[in-house]
Amino acid sequence: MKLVTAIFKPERLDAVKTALAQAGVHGMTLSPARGFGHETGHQEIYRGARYNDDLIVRQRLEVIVADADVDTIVSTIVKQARTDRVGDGFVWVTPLDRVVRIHTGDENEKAL
Amino acid sequence: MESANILWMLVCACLILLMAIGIAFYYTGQTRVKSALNMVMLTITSIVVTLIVWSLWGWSIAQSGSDVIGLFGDPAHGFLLRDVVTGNPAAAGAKGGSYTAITAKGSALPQLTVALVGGLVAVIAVDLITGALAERIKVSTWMVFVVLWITLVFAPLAHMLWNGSGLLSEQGALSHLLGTRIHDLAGSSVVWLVAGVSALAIVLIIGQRRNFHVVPLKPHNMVMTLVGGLIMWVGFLGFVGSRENSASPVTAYAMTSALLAPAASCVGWMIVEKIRTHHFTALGAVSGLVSGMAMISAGADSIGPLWVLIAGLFTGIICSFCASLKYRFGYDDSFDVVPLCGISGLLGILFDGLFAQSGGLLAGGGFALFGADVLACLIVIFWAGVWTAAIAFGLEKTMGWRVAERDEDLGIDIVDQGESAYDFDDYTNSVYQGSQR
Repeated sequence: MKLVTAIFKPERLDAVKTALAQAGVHGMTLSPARGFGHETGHQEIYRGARYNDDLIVRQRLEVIVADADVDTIVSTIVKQARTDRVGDGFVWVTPLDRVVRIHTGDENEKAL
Repeated sequence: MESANILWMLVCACLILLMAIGIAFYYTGQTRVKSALNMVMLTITSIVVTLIVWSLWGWSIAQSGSDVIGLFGDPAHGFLLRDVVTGNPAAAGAKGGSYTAITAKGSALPQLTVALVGGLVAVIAVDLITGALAERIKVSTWMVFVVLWITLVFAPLAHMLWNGSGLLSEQGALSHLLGTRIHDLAGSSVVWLVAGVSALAIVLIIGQRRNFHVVPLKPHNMVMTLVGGLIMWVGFLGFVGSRENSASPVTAYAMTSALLAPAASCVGWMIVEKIRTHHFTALGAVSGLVSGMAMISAGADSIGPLWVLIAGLFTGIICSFCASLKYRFGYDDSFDVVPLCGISGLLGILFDGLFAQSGGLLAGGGFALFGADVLACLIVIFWAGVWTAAIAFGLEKTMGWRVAERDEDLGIDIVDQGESAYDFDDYTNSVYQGSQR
């Protein structure tokens, strides 16, 4: 059981989502994220006063997968989320101790 | 009566400016959050640049200058409105300040009021185009475009249609040739059709928004769009009501049909959407209103009430089908200027040829008027299409229309305007960097 978390550009969401569904993923959790990395933020000007905003908007995706599927899922995300520009984001994998599907009470691999 | 007419023309001028504001709301509601401000800026620049160009040479080319082979007036005669404004109050019999409008002998209405309304109609024509270009163009390029477009496209076409000696006017060469009187009261062709044709020409040159048909490009505020459409309708009464140059009984009827046709078109559009999608969509309803306005501009005073309703209904039905064409052909006419203004404007002229009380094909008038209307449309489409494509292509090669791809993803508001339209964050990360000197 692994938790795959990805941070990537919002405009790639549709491609990533479709590819993951085709790879057999049945569900995922999405949330908007803001942060900074190598890509710089932007500047706004109101009546001559300048403001720097260094946080940029990204899409956060979380999906729980069986150990055997991790490599496929990660490479799918990397392939689909890449735009070959700075600021494409990250994917990371975290081990999970226990997963319970609330509706059925099923645990771990059965819960997926 | 004389001052009543002046009063009416000034009221209409206010109403047409209100229509431009309605267009701003109508389009801005349809943008995404990150490009709302750019959309309003396109309207503001349309208004200010058009008014300046109009007062400098636009008015002279369109109306007052001496006619050059039926295509345009000379730009010098009315330069800076010098033929309609005088700084010598004694000559004009005015009290108070020095400047006043000139009222020609034997004429009840000062031509300045006509110039005023004409300039604001030009604003509407330009402003309608902006909806096709949303979310991706630089305001600077747009401002240069407006200068060239008013000079080369709108003012000559307004001259052809509304100046007595123009090629397409009621007494013009084409009408004379075909033995009929081409009729376009408020500009289904010169304002709406031209806006649609020009929008298509520019869109084909500048290309699609990033991720067109990939991510949802949904309206961010439908209420704003609906209220904008309704404000447009209020302004539209002035747009139609001003064309008789008087507060006359004809004006009363023209305004009545300006209410009936959009109403019928709205219903027509909603019926089609209910059948096709099982919903009475709000965007469909307001689109029906706009296409009805485009359609009735030509024949507001020449088509009878029953035919106004029928024409309105058909406009809504036809345009609702045309609105999905952009996905089939892959051009990104962002907010459907081509079907809502272009196709409905075209229908407006054709319906005038079919239904007009005097000369209409279905009213027993034969083919002369209908044929002349079709020919006039083709000339208008050709003129607007060729010139606009030339201007747009020239600007694409010199200034460039679009912002960089990364900037378009970030949102054109922050890149082009340096501001964002809405700030709902309850915390802010912004760091104050000091102010400009």
